[in-house]
Amino acid sequence: MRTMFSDEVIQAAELKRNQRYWFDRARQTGGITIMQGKVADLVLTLREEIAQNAQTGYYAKLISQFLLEMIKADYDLKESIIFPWLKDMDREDRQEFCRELIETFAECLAKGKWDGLEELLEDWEATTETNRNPEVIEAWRMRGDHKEYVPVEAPDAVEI
Amino acid sequence: MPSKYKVVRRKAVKKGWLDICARDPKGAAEVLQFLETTPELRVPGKVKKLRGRLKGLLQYDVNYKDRVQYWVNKSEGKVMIEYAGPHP
Repeated sequence: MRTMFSDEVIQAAELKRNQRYWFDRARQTGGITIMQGKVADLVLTLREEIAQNAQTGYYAKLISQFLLEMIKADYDLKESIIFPWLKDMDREDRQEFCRELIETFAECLAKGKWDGLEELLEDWEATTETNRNPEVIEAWRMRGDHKEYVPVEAPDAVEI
Repeated sequence: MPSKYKVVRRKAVKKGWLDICARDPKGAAEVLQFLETTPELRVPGKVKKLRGRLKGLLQYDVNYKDRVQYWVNKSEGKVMIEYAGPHP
């Protein structure tokens, strides 16, 4: 028997009889449903697939909540509950963040891997923290003037 | 791993860098080795690539408290440290 998800449904007793066959079958097909009596509410499936689906659900929820915030703010969101650090961005950075967020979300969704989105969020959070430090902003603006740099001291050469 | 880059710091960063060396010499040694060899390598949770107007600036989180911000001058084979010190 096959369900609408195209997985096979077997009785628990059948699983017990031919464990190795059904384990291999689950790995090959992506999953089988186990029926106990008349109830078919358990599946034997790949751990990685479950983890991936959970991540997809998590990020889909996160992005949809953020988009809802955007819509409510008429696409000019200055403060966010989802990404509280957004308040430290100027308009230009906010627009760039939103564009990159949606693009990266779509890419990750297509690949089924979410590292790219995690990195994007880490990067932007670090960026907004740095924007609060005028010392770094000024240094970045004036970067590259050779007379302002000296070789860095090795830690073991430092008196502790 | 042999050093590929010479690491320099902004003069104004002296105190911040020496403070990190004093607080966390092991962390400071690790970040220095990283900067000399693979400064652009993405390390999840450790290395961040800043964006927007700060694109090109990288951040290495030395520990929970301290970080080093730098950029890579490839043409001169140098890593330029712009900030070393605590998180805001």
